[in-house]
Amino acid sequence: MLHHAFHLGVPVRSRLFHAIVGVAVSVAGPSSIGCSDPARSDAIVDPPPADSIAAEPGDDASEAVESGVVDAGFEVEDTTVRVDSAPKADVGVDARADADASSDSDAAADVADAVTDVPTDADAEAGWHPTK
Amino acid sequence: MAPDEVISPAGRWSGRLTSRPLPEVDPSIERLTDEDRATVMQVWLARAANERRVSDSFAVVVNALLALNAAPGLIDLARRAVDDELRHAEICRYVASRFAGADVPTPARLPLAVPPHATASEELRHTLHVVGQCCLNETIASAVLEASIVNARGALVAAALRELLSDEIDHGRLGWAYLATVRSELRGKIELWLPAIARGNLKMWRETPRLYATSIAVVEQGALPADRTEATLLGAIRDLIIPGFDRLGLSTVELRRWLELGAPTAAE
Repeated sequence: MLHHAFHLGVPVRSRLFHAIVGVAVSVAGPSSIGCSDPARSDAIVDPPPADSIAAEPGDDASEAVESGVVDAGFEVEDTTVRVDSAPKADVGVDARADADASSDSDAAADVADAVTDVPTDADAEAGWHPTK
Repeated sequence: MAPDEVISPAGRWSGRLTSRPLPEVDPSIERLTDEDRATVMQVWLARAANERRVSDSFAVVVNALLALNAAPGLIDLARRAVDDELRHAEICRYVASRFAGADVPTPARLPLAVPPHATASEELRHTLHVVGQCCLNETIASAVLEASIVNARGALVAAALRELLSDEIDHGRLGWAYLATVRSELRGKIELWLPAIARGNLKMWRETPRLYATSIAVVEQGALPADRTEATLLGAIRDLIIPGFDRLGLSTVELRRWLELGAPTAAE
């Protein structure tokens, strides 16, 4: 069971990577993420003792518990999100700019001049404020 | 929290501050020296201020996802993150109060500076805001919290750190999930920006003023020493962020090269 594997030497970094990236991208499939996933974050930061895992048939969390990661007594919220993984071809300014550019070469040049989409040195200074 | 702010009843824990009540008794607090106790109080109060500002960051992410026409579920998660960070601020203020032995006031609200990404198109800028705040900043935050938990012995801080980490993992997921949905042409543009946004975020983590632990007793109350913080930041980029971009098929050659050089940031 995965939960037991955590205690048998799986590197902590691998656990965190799985919890963040793995869950978001691949564990539940590339088209969905969810806190009700077996590898939900609480299970990672607060893994239950092995003897506390006791799934009840029909329990919403049973599938997760069966995987050995989530404590059946733990509050599990279902926030599964379905994400359309199909690329969006018509979102945002770029798409509109592309449409303009395709019909008018001058407009295309203007767009290219105005927006390079390449970072400058100043952008290397720009980050988000840390939370801690 | 500020008098005009409330934890949303529609939030993660239906208006409650935490998933589970924080311990009301923690003998480890009384065992600290006055000096260490004051240091821990300041560490957690500074965290309260930073968490409050990150709530404002997530308001930017919400708007970015709306502009990007992102999946409604992702937008809902981002909206919840705004509330999560308000709770985090209050959790941290509460912990600081316990170490102070009295209710400490809400720290002054810190100003938010949003990365301008001035040469990016509107769509790319919104996307970079999601990637920068969620894939980088919140993923790094998760690693910092994880490192803090490793040596946390105080019952109160251990419980508080778990609450924070649980949510930060979710906030990181939000960015990775969104990134998994963007079309390949946009991914190519994001790729060009990865070194810049990684440098920018790491620079902010390195340069934001914070109290570092200089005694074991303070480490055991959830603070990190400076060298451990630096190692954690680099470890997050090496073990979480670069593999994450790899997983999504974005080139990380430049990021790896930069990391091999010690990840120099612009001011160095």
